[in-house]
Parts: sequence; C-alpha cells; structure tokens
Amino acid sequence: MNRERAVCSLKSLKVYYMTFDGPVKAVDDVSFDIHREETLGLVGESGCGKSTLGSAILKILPRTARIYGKIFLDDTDITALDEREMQKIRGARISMIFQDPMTSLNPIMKVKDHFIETIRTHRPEISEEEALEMAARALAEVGISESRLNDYPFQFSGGMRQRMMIALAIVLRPSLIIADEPTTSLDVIVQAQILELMKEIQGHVRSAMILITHDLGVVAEMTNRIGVMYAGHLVELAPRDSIYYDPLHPYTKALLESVPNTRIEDKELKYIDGFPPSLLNVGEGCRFADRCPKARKVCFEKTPKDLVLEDGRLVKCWLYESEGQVEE
Amino acid sequence: MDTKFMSQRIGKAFRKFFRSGSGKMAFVGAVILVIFVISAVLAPHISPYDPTKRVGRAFTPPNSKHWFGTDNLGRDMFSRVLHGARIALLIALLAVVIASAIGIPLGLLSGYIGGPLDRVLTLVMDAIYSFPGLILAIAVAAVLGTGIVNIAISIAVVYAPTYFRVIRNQVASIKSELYVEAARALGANNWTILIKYVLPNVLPSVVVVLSMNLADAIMTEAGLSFLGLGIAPPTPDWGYDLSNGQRFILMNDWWMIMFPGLAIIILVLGFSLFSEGMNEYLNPNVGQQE
Repeated sequence: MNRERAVCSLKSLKVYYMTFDGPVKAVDDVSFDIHREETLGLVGESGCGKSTLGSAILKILPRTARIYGKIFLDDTDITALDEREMQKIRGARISMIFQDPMTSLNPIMKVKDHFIETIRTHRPEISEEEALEMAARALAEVGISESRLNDYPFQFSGGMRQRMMIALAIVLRPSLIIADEPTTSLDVIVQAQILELMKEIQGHVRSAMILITHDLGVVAEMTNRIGVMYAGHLVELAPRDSIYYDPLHPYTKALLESVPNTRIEDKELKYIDGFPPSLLNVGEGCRFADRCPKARKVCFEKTPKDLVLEDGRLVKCWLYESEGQVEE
Repeated sequence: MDTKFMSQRIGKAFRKFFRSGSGKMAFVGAVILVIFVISAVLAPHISPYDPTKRVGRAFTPPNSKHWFGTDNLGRDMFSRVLHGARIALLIALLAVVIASAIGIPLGLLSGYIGGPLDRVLTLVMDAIYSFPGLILAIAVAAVLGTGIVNIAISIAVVYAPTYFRVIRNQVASIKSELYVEAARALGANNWTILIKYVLPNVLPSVVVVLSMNLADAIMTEAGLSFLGLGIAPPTPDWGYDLSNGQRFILMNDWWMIMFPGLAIIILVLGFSLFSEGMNEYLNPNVGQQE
C-alpha cells in the first residue's frame, strides 16, 4: 500500500511496562499503516496488548510504560513530542472512544460543558455560542436531540452515553479514531445500533479508525482489515475476508475455530490448549509456539520476522518463511 | 471517612435516635446552627447589657433582670453568652478557612501528582495528625500568643491534616476513573483535569469535613481559652467564662459555668447533627455500614 496516504503508521512499536522484576513487553515490534476511511480491527484475547497499543498512540499510558519505535501521524513522529504538544493532538487529530460509557463522562458536568471544554481546549478562538452549535450538530449526527445539552450524564442510558462519547470524539473531526472495545458493555441490540452509527459517522467524517475488540463478530461487520495480536505480537494482518476464509497463522486459525457456532448442534466448543505466556522478561522465540500444533524447533529459538506475502498480507510465522519477504 | 473528629462520634451516636436517612438529623442541626448564628450576628442589639461592664451585684443567681445571673465581677452572664457566640463562631470559621486553605490544595497536589511529593507530604501530615489535637493546639498557641488570628491558626494546624487526608485519598481514587482518562484522551491538560474533573468530585466530602471541623474547632477554642491561651479578657468567651466560673463552684454558683457550658454543648451538637445528617445525605451508603 502506498505510504503517502497513511494517516498513521507504526514502525516497530514497542511498549514495555517497567517493573521491579524486569520489563513487561506488552506490545513488541508492531508495525502497520492505517489509511483514510479505513477501519482496522485489532483482535486478540485479554492481555495481548491491544488496548496498550491504542493508548500508546495517544500516549496516555501509565508512567511506568516506555514507548520505543516510531508512531507517525501524517508526517510527524509523535513519539518525539512532549506532553504539551500531545495535548494539542489528543481529541483534535486523534480521539478515543472507551469501553465503559457509564463512567467515561464526568458525572457532575453537563453534556454541553463536555463539548465546550473539548472544543475550546483545542480551538480557543471559537466562542461559546459557536461551540454550542458545533455540539448540537455533533449530537444530531449521533441521533441525540440538542435539547439534551443541558442534561447531566446520569440522565442518559448506556447506549446514549456511548453516542455522546462518539459525538465528543468526532466533534473536531479527527483524522484517526481509536475505539477501545466500544460496545463490550452494551447489550446486543444497542451494540448493533452503535456499530451501525460508528460506521455511518466514519463514512462522513472520513477518518481512519482502529477498532480494538475481542469480539470477532464485531470486527467482521465493521472492518476492512484485521490485525490479530497474540502476547504483544501482531501475528497476522490481512484484509477481512482473507482472515475469515483463509487464515494463515496457526493462532488465527485456532481463534476462529474457537468461536461458538449456533448452527451446528452437539458440537463441543473448541478452545486453545494452554495459556498465553507471561510477558515479563519474555525472550526469543515465537510466543505461540507452546500452544501451536505445528511448532518446530526454530519456533522456540528465534522470533519469526514480519513476513509480507505476495498479496500484501503480513504474517509472523516460520511456516511461511519461503513464501514471504521480510519487511524492511 | 476516617477522621478524628469528636463531633463525628457525637453525630453517629444520634443516628439511631433520628432514624437513619429521614433527613431530620440535618434539619435539627441546621435549626440549632441558625439560632446560634442569628444570636451571634445580632448580639450587640439583643443583649440587654454590655458584656464587659459591671451591671449589677456580683454572684446574682438567675432572675428576671439577669436571666443567666451575674459573674464575680457583676457582669451579665446572658449578654456574655450571646457575645461569646460571636467569638466562638468567628474563630471556628477562621480556623476552618485556614485549615482548608492549607489542606485542600496540598491534598489535591499530593493525590494527583503522587510520587515522592506525595510521600513527603503524607509523612508530614501524618506526623501532625498523630498529635493529640488539644495538646498540639496548646503548643502552637503558646508559641504564637493570644489573639483571634493566632488562636485560629493554632486550631487550623491541628485540622489541616484531616482535609489533606480526605482529599488526597479521594483524589487518588478519582484520578483513575475512566472519565479522567477520557478527558485526557480528549486533550485536557493536567490543570483542567484537576480543577474541572477532580476537584468538583471531591467537594461533597469537603462539605462534611468542614461542618465536623467547625464543631471541633469550637471545642478546641473553648479548651484553649479555658487554659488561658485564648482571647484576652474581658472579651466575652465561653472557655474563659468556664474557667472563671469553676473557681466559684464550691460556693454553689452553678450558673456561671452552666450557661457557657450549655452553649458549647448545644452548638457542637448542632454542628455534629448537621454534618452527620449531611454525610448521610451525600454518601447514602454510610447509614448501612453499621
């Protein structure tokens, strides 16, 4: 894919949490590009580093975290920016939607103050009246009446609050939206509505979106490309249909097989034997090797490279060594 | 909330009596406080005599002319008790303002920034907190000398750590709330987060601490002036009148200590009921804890 148009690109990004026992390698050597109007799904089980990755792009990690590698937003490397400059980017050029809408709004601030605060932080030249108009428009986009600007967050249901969070995230038209499990805490029907809404909004805001989730159904519906993460590594990155119909990495295959299927009765649920490795002081070798049915000697000894196949897919597995080229 | 306020214990003792959650407790407390505030404000106009002048025979028991009797210098006790409310409330208020002006900002910074600053401040505040209140106030007052402002400062030193502890712990937990992280993700800077997101969410507990603190400040002030470290006579002051009156207790002149004593008890009770009632109202879980 052509690099000029990438809204955001990660170049061997590493996020280590420093502990007294050594570094916890939550995200290790992850590289990808994301383009305008594209939705990239990041899937993986709990603790695989997908949320850490999302927070790393905004640099809102706890103080113990260290970021290595580069994150380019348009053409600037934001890993080099200081806190002040990052504040200008957060909410304006990159914004984030969180998992739990019930607690992601300040309980004692009116809806309109959330908007005024966000808008005027980034664009102090905008008057309060203009900011209110922008807020009303953003709320209309997510299907909330502007008459509710004077309400407090507790007067909204979970689904409504998530709509508000989306409105807040898009009010300044960011070029990248990071959605960290945006529908996990909502019921199935509201979840479908929110996903539909996010798709629609992304269409007319024309931003790129990183959708972090463990729900394979959600990514199937929403995304163009899917990245599969396992224990801090991005093990496979491919267009959605390729992931679903032709998964390459043994972990991706196992993950897809473990999705419960309601159509086939009496079929025992499949699962992957074993546990993901501890990310503390993790050494060389493929991190999935212990659980991988096709593991060979080399898998335990050397970490596989990111291999780019002919069709542009990326896979981090020794099995495809002969087919792909090592990404530079 | 863990504080060492005497008034908190008083308030809790009354909770069963007022049936938890009925709101009566705060109401009764508020009525008492309003009565005291009104009499303090209007004291110069409603008190029958000048509280510092000899207006009758010394040691007169309560009668229709002197409702609360007169003291050893022939001063009208009723006028002295009324005027005493002025001094008591003024010093308590001043002490609370100073204590919160020290405790709240330090608590905010300590809880929000954390790290070495937090450890140092917590250590200092805990050191102060570990002193018995009155003893520390006596020591500070002995250094600073008498006078309204000095007394207020010595009381404030005792209570500032309470504000600090309550605020610091609340900030530490609110800091990790998702809405704070969300504000950060939307580009808010630390100052905005502290003032607009953290501070307003800790204020409810400040209100409770404040009213409990007022009650204890009144007791501490009375204690200081009882020991002669408070306001210089002849300014009417409950603590001073108590210590003055107890010299004549063997002469059965009960009125000289009963009325200032009652005034202290009722006012402290008013604050205690009000603060415990407010506590229940603002943190609905409190009533169910025991």
